[in-house]
Amino acid sequence: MSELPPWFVLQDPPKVEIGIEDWKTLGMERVELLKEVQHDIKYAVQRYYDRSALYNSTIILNYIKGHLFLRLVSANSYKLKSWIIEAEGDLFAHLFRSLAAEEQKTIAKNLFGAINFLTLTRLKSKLLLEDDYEEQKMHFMMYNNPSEVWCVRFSHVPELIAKRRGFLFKGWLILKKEEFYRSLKIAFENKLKEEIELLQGKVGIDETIDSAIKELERSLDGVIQVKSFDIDIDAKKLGGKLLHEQIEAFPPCIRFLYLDLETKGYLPHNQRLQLGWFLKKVGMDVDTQMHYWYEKSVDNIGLSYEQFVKRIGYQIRHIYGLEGAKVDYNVPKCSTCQSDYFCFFSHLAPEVQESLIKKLYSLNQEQLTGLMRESLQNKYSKACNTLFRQAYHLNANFVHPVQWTRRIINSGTLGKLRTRKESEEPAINGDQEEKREK
Amino acid sequence: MTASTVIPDKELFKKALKKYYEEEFKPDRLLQVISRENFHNREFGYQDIDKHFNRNISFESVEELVSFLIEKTPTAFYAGAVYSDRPSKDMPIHKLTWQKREFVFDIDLDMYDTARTCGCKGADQLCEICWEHVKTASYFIDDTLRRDFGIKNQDIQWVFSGRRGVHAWVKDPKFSYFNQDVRSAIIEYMSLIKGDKIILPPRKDEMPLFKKRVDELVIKRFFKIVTREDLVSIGLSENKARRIYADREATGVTDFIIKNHVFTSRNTIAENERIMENILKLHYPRIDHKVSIDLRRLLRAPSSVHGETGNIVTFLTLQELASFNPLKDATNIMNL
Repeated sequence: MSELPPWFVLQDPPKVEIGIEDWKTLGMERVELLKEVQHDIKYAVQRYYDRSALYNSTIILNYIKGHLFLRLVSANSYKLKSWIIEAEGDLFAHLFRSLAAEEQKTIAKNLFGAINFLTLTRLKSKLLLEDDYEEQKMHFMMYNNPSEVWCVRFSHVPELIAKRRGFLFKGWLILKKEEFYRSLKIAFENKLKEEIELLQGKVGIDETIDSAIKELERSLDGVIQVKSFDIDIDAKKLGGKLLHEQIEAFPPCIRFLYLDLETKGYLPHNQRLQLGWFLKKVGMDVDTQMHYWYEKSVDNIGLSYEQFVKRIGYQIRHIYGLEGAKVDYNVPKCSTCQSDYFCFFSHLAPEVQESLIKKLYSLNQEQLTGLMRESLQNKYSKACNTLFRQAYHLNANFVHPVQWTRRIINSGTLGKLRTRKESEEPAINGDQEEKREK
Repeated sequence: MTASTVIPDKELFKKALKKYYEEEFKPDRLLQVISRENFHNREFGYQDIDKHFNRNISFESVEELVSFLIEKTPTAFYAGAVYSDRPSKDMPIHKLTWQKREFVFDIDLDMYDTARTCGCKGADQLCEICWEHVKTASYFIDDTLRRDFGIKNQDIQWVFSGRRGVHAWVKDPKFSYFNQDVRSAIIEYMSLIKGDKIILPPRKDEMPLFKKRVDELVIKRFFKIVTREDLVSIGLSENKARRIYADREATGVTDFIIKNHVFTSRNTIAENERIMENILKLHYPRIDHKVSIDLRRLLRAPSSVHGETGNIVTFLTLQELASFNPLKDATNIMNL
């Protein structure tokens, strides 16, 4: 088995001595690198990870040291933690793709856990002992090139299981390795988050280190800004209704989450945040949002509203920057939704996408076919922009979910849209109809 | 069609409950699905004879639990998750850290109201025909858990819920630690009905096991139980319906019948898809996802008593489930 590539930040930290000022400087340099990653990842990788850097152990070691310092800083700052996890995740995903097959496997074993990753050949020999392997053996023949296929324990790739991707047999998901890349990025970010959280108790041990951390944290406060997309709109354009009630003006990702919550009474953590941030950005105040989750969520069965506020209120106030690091978080941009949160085109099975588009938007068959082609080619942002153009006959070129809504509002078409859609809005199930009647 | 609910005389019922918990209750059964590990940190809940619901209760030992049941004679008794400390009124579960809870499936006939063509409706009615929905869902879930998710036979325990459904408890300890995302993914994987939307099963070349399971355990079983009217309602002509019905009586449901009378090559792809959708709408398994996904939810405890019917929540093997008729075979404490 090959070794982990030296640039991989989630390996045992090097045992080196370094002065606190030098360490802080390397931390700041890492921030510059990550800012460049967010701005133009290809350029950043060319600049910081070209061949001369990759083969220079001193440069790579300094990158790792800088990264480790940022972990310490972010252990105390929710805002910085989110930013670092997102930027390091993007960088990891980009560097990972350029690795040789063996190195990729080594990283996959590291992130999924060695016992949760097998090659197809190893899996076949393991399954020989299983009763019904013989019966299923022929299905393994469909993989012409076994080296291009990975086998991962299902519990480590829930997003792929939910979409029924690949061949699931005896708890192993067998799939082309490229299909696991996104799950690997999620695993990387989760592991980095865990590592950062482990450090939370460590800060406060050494005064010199603490003051350096505080200093860097303060200097980053103004540097790392989440751009605000708050919608400033003329109330007349809303026809007397509140914007957060205008579901028909929501992008498909948010519209789906909204309806999914109504149907299931549950959303996974990241999807809850995504919906919560969006509702905040379209003007839902914290109290209304508190009532909204109390009414929709299944977790509060048997709880009074007061008990619910006591138990869950912190998380909702956190969405509004009223708790924790008190940061007014924004909805993640489309590319982040695709990798870490929820994207209608990237995370739903094509047949579900197609049937929902048919119900929610007035597209003709030709438009629908073209749209689904883009989606199946994994051109998620392009598909979303196409859907917007065809559904609303407006120009589209957006990279952020809130831009979808803002463009509709600013075009003044919301009134017409509402008239057309109110009668067509589909019920996800009977329960939903019942809730609306109530 | 029979009402499954028995409303016994309150005092008699209380006496019967006490007698049951004193003489017949088998805590070992409960301990076969919930582990003894950190037993004292597991939440329990109950409903008393006056229908007051209580939760945030824990027991130091199994013996303490049995004494509690005898003393309180609850009409319903539930097991919840294991937490970082003992749940109590002073230390309720929302103040504690969740640690684990068994992965459980709930199949309940009230989710089939739009699919029940036998005339039964709601919580209180069931018959042998609509009970077939429960059986199909059980076979389907059991097969999926074993073949696709690799759970061993002995790690799935089926339980009659005491009224109109069954539960499957996954005893494999790994599953107890799964978070909501993994639990939700397993449910999503099995679900082809999303609200009022039907999703066609994956193609054989994409997911051979899944497709075969739908064909064998849903489609074929559907043709075994349906009436001629149901056959027409899924889009078949009167003639075809009559022929299938006659062939079924003579030879049983065979692949030949399905291939030549239902999904025939003379139909267009769209026609065959519409028939498939209609069959799934009527007979595809419906899982109460909230029971499986909600980590803090209380679950009706095996060997406890269903307070609305007086039936005991009983273990069943899949083979026993095949011939189990809740109207005749359920054990009722009033008859003990």
